[in-house]
Amino acid sequence: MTKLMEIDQLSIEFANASGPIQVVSGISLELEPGQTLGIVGESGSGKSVTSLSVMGLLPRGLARVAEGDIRLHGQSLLDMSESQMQRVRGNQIATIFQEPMTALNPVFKIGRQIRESIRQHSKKSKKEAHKESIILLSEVGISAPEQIMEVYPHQLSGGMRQRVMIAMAMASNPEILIADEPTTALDVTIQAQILDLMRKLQKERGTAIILITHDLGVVAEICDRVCVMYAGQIVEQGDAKSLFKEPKHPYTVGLLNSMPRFSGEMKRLQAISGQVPHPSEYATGCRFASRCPSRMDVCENTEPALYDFNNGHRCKCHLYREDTNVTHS
Amino acid sequence: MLPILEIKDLKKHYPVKTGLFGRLSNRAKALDGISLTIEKGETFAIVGESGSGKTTLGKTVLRLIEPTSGSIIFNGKEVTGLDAESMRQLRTDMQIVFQDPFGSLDPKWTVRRTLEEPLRTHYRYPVETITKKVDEILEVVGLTPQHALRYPYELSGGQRQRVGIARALILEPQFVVFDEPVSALDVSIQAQVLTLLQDLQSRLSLTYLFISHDLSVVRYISNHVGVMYLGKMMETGPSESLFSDPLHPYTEALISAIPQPDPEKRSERIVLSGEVPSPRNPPLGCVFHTRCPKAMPQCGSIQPEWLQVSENRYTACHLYNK
Repeated sequence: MTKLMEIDQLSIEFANASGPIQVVSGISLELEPGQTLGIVGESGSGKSVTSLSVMGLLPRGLARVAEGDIRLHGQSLLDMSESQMQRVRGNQIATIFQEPMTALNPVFKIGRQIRESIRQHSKKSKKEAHKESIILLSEVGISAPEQIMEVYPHQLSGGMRQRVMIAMAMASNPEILIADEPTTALDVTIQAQILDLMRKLQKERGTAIILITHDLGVVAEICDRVCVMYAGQIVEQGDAKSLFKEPKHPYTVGLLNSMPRFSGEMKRLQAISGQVPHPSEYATGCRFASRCPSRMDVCENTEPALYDFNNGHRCKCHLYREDTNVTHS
Repeated sequence: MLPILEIKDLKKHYPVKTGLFGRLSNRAKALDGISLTIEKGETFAIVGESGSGKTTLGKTVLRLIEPTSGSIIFNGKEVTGLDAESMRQLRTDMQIVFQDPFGSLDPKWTVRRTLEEPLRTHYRYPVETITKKVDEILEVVGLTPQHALRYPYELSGGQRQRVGIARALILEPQFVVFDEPVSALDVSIQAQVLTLLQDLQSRLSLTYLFISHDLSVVRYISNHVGVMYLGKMMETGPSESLFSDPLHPYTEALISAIPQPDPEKRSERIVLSGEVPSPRNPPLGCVFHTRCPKAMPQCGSIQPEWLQVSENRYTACHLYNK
């Protein structure tokens, strides 16, 4: 299958008084059309920075891509000019964020904001855009779209605002939707509605979704493929079924064991000791070594390679040195 | 044995004022007739979505919010009528830990100052005793005396929450309210704090009122559960039986909405339509009937009574009204 998007050995640096700090180090991933890719990680793992770099929205002067490439249909996004990038954003890649209140302009009515995002990317009259907005709103499950067009963002609940954001993102029929913690601020029953909606839109339109989240439950619910990030690196990736069934990396195992399960017998939670290191304090060896229950001597000083378990399930850990072939050094 | 806390028909109504002269037009019912009993040494959890009134309940129990009516009996003593001085003394036995470990600590105070404050407010201890007590409590929550010198911004979220717990425990209370204590934390840190809370409970024989929106966390930590919706209790029961065999359709829907970390189990979920109505204008009859998949004609007009369905299991739903 053709690759829709490819991230190749991407590293991102932030400027700092005492020299640049690398927050994302050499990550590679691929996205196929219509696929849902989950990127999971705790705060500070680099998952949001990765998504910003795909959109070309890294804060200028503060952060930059130090190495690697991001390609859409084989074409590098990093080489594009700002105006080319502007066309990609919205037309081919759209984003929804965690906090839909701050992402909507509080002083304009919903209708005007959706019309604007439609007209930004297509040559449509105000009237046509208005009609299309109403269709979009009803598509995202808003029952009285004409009324919603006439209200301001603060008059809507969190779930409704997120629906409006999704409607705006889908306005240009993008190939990729990047959803950065789209349900984190919502209640569980509303979260279930939004996840259902994302699944439905994907089925109807074949949009590929990159879902960034800290919630392994949400990932298991809708993702085909999963990348687990820790301290700026992808430590494990694979298709959702095999990753949840047979997690390879001690960090993934630790994450799953530290989640209270809703079904099955009750066991005492196995917390991962310690905390995520600050990017300026990343170890030379494995970055997880100091918290790892299966730590070996080699982990201290040698960075583990990425080992491949044939079916695309990859894991960056010295535990698997003998069993498999090395893909990247 | 006497229960440590008994709440009977507790109500908190806020006046809603409209117009130029602030005419009282309505009442928002944040708590509407809540009754529950908490036994010594157990964890009673309150679950519900935003706007259900669970935080108001936690604060009202400590009288950080004054109830409109109803009674709160702590260790056999009526709390609602107490004057400020008796209430102040009682607070050494009842403490609270808040959700936001960023907002609930004073940014200009060191950890030591924060932890000394409750001791200074309630007792007249010599300086050495205070220092000793602070060092002890730091160790209890898994911090070191070095942490005492730091300011909140120098601590991680998990460490800050430990400071919040230490501040509540330094007065050696019997009863602690936790208001979403782990919601702002990452999964691995959340597990550290949850296991700490379990250890502290058995070590110090504490009783917890644990408020959360996360059912997996609640199932893990609690002995009893109360499910709230729009200021009303929908169902209470021992957590094991409540979660395996929910009585109320709302509890059932909440449980089915939890995403499971297992892609093999992408089950058919009960997706509730619509959103939680405003507490200013709650639906007539059963407050849940507008979203209930099992709603019957009488649900829209008659308020369901609080029924005992089996031993320890209570619910307010017409399905069980025989």
